[in-house]
Amino acid sequence: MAAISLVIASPFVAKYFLAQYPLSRFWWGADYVHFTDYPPYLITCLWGLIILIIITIPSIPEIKSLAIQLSALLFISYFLIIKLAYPHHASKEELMAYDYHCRMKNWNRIIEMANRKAPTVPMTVCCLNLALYKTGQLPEKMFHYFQNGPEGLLPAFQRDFMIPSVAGEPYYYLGFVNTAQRFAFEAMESLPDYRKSVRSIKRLVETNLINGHYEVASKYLYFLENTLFYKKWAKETRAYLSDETKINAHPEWGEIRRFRTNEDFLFSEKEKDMMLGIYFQQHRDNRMAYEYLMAYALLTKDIKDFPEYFRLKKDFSYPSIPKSYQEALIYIWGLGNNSIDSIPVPISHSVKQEVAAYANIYTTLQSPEPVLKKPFSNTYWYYLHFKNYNRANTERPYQY
Amino acid sequence: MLPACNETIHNPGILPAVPEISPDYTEVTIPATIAPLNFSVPEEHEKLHLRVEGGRTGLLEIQTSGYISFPEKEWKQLLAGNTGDKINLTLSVKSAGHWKQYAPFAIYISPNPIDYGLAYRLIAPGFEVYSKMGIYQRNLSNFNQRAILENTIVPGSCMNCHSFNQTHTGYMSLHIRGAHGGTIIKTNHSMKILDTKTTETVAACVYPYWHPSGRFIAYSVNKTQQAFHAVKEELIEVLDLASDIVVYDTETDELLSCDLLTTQDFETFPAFSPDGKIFYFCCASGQKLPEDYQKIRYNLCRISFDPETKTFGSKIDTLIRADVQNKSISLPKPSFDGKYIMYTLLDYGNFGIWHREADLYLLDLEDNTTRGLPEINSPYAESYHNWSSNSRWFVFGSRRMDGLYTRPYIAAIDENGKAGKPFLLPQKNPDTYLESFYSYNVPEFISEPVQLNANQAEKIILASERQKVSYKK
Repeated sequence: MAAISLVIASPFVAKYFLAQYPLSRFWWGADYVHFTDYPPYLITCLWGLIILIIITIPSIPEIKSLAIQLSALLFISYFLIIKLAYPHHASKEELMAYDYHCRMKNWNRIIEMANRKAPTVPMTVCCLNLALYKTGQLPEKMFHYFQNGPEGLLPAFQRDFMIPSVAGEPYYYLGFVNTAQRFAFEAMESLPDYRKSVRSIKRLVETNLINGHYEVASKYLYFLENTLFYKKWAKETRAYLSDETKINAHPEWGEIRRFRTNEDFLFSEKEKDMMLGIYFQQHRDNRMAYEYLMAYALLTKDIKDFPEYFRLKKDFSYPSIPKSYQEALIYIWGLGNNSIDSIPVPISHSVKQEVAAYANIYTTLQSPEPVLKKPFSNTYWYYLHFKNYNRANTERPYQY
Repeated sequence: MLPACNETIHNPGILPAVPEISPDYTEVTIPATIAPLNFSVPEEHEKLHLRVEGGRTGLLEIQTSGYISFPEKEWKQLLAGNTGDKINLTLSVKSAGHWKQYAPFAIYISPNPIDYGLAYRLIAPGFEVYSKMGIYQRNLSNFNQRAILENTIVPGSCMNCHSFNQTHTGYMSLHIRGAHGGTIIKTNHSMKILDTKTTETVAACVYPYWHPSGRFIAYSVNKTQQAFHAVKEELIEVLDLASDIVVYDTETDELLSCDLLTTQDFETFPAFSPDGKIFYFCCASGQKLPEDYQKIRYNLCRISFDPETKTFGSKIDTLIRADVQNKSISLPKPSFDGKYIMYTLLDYGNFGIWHREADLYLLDLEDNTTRGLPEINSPYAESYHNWSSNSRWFVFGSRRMDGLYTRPYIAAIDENGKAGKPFLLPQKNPDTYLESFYSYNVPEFISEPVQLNANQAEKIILASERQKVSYKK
């Protein structure tokens, strides 16, 4: 009786004398549940069932053996707990896999996953596009995979603990250090159980090191030095504090530091092309800024500015004009009723043939999409004509 | 007081410099009732030995291998015995088997008392998302910190702009943001929650300041937006796209205003004079936003207010034209003795905590002179500040420790407006600030503990009803 009273009284004592949480949270254990918005009712039901089983099994006359009873109990418990309480969520596992490989820089693994099943949500498409860039394939192959607009290239910020972690990755490599820092910080602050994230803190160390904010980087390193798995990294990284030469020589941090902008502007979700343009104009060897600018123009169907951006290509060498660029250029050329063969840039024979075939179907059929889908869904033209995308609406007033 | 088992120091090496200690409490001025100024010594050491000698009376010796932690009883006796004088601290450090002794430094003990405590918001210095945060109170004579209200009580909520009537906690205003948003008004007798958005005002009430009578609260109503910089030197810009000033009558639930305070210009940060007959505020010419955000520059203005008739004066006086110096003023805070206004000066805008150049300035209302406070300011942002009830102390937030996390500093100020070297709010473990994810936001002196029942607050926050306010011009 005393134990039951203690169990019942404890949440109330905690609520009224110890900590400021909703009462329901104390029933589950204030720090037990990660997703505090979703109390684990099912687990309670399952434990209730287990108790029920324990009570009922002895009354079943056929099962006399204790071993069989225990086995049945274990089997049913396992089935109920694992299969019902923790059902398999393939889509969530896919998100986590992309997230993991992106974080661990396993670019080829991401592409392998995409080859098995193309990603479709902005977060996973963002990982794929980054992996394509990192393996030198973005302009050549981006339309070989599903594209869901600029959100799959540079996703907008969302108040979430997972999406900003991934969305911050391309910004980080592009040299948008403040944005990468913001996304990492916000991802950590979005954790529903109010805890902190060592992954975010690690990124905050990096962004503060790159920006030369050594006192803040040192503070975050202090936290990591007291963890099991990040301790070694933190101790090694501490040697970089205030050592400009060492940071500049770092293969990743040195390059990102060099690619930062020295021209201030306010980040704008609606003007990512403008921001990418500023980054590229300041550092003409920032290939990622260039390819992301081009990809952004393609994904937003900005065929007006695309040729102008294309002319900036002279700073980089490609074996031939990448396929998506060729497809856009020949389409734009065709808009002026120009002959395909008169285009003043080298377009491959296959692209010319394809565009002619595509144009033939597109202009002659009243509903060409179903016919074009199979042979041309990996082209820019198909994306341009038949893929709609939504721009994220993230401009909202801030409340103080 | 030194236990017999401690090591005796013979012929230490004498160093001419004062030691580097963390926090830096060398030569600071403190009140006689402050909690012990525990500190750590960053340099590698095997042992520390501290000798503290009162200017008038008392002697204390501490030997430790960790950080310097003063025994509370002896610390209080030492300060009480040397009020109006100083204590001298001599630190010796043992490393590699040898003792070295640093030059002594002083801590000055002001004869002026300080209030019971501080109230502040603890929040991570983030952007748009907030994790666990809350409003807390801290007893200045010991290390006790207690939550007044935490956002964990209503998940997904945010709370800000806590405000008291001068330092009296019987009158409190606090905004709750989020799905269960509202403004909690607590007076000595009651607590209620308001919906302060009206069709006539540009936004809900934001920055508060109590009238000394306890009947009125001046608020700015701000349509605020956050923006994010691209360069490494800057992170966040907080912009007001529109703002006006209203006065809330706690008895009639009316928002009072006038044409002069609801113009196309941006009026914000109201603050009543101690006699309640005028209030000061900041005002900037409207600009095209967000493009021209760097052209927003606020001047310091004032207008009279008659609490009997609930009417405003017919003209606005401009006290300081900061815009002509390409500067901007925010957070004017009159001292409660009526002699000064302390304000933040920054290059543009009004949200100084994200401006590295933001510094504290003092306007002398008797001779109308204004001056910076170099004895207070640092290369990093100094921003939110407020006065003690006797106007002999002020507290302010500064990012001087690392450039990002705001910490509460307290400084003495004498009758001539000369400030002493500020000291960081002491903690039992001096590494507390290093180990904390929180900024100390909006520090305010409180004369007595805040009595707010968090569970009662939870009920009124979760209730669907909000007291509506009316608007009268």
